[in-house]
Amino acid sequence: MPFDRHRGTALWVLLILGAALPVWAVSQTAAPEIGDPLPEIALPMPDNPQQAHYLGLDPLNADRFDLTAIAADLVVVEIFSMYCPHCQREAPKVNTLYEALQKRPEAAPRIRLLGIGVGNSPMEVDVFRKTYDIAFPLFSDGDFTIHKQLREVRTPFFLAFRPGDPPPHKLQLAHLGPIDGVDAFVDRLDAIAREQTP
Amino acid sequence: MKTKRYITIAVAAGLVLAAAMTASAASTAFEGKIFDPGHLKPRDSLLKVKAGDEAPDFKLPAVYGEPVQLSDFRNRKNVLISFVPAAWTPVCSDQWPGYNIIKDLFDAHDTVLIGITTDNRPSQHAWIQQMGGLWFPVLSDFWPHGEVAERYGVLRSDGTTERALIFIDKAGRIHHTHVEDINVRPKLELIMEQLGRLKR
Repeated sequence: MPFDRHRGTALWVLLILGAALPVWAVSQTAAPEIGDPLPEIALPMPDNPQQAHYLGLDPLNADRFDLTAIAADLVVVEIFSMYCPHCQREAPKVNTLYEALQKRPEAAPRIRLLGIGVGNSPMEVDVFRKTYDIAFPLFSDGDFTIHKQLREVRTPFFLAFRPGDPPPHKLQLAHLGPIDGVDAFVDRLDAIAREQTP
Repeated sequence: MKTKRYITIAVAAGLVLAAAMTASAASTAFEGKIFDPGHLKPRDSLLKVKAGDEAPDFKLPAVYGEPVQLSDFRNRKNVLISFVPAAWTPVCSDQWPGYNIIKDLFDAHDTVLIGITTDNRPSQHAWIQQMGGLWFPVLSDFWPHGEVAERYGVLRSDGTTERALIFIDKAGRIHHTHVEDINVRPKLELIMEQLGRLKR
């Protein structure tokens, strides 16, 4: 009977939603971990040619690029927000991290750093960039699309992956909260960059 | 009729789940300390002021220092009042810390920023300390509860306020009002656009 069919459908929808809610709730509290697959993240090509060059991208080739297209042995991504007090306090330290990575010898693994401002419009990302004089590339995730892909992780959050690994690229670093020491963090990144995927 | 009712229930359940999934970026600075009220009715009051009106004057206790009276800024500074619903809640804790790094933008537009909540001062103090401090005054509209918010028409039925921005010019007149969906942080673009329209 039509009535029974509709009632059955409605009950199934409710059951599925009821089952999904706890799974979703758990996922909201669990930050991404090492070994998790990197979500497919596409970003707009940097307007600044120097930043495109830094990432090993050809700005004339496309208006967007996939994170895994970055030419590096290791890519480090900071998930931040201009509204996040820890991100603000961390900004000078992350600048030091960028400088330390830039000063490494030519022969050292190529490590590239970028930031994604979750829930931040391009203007808000620009305010953060100017306030802290940030030289590495920053991108806007104004509608939280990337943030949702990363399970709405708290900020700041640092992830790293090796673009040269076979897909699906796995997270080799998943660090929530401030960095304790820049030198130790650089050493850790360097070790990860030198590791080979089994 | 019953068929429609079941379909309505299923759709409503879907909408509730979708609403619960509304994103917000929480800082590790507040880890474990934020009370999440869930998805709220976007607006729950009717504004009582509009552009061109004289801004209702008030004098409220600040968390730190002397009480602040709105009319003290007349003929001296533009004023932006930022009402936020409540301390220790997700979106509010993800709003004022951003204003903390743009004092120069307010200064450039000869504008004073004033934050108001209906929380009491001890709660506001603890919250502000968790943010690492704020450069702008935060006022407590706790008692008589929400009196100022009520005069502006931004007091919600549960005693919190709307997420509202009230731009006031140097003549003490309302220049612009904006009441955001309580579940969403107002974009900085909106603030900058209105600051740019105020006379310096």
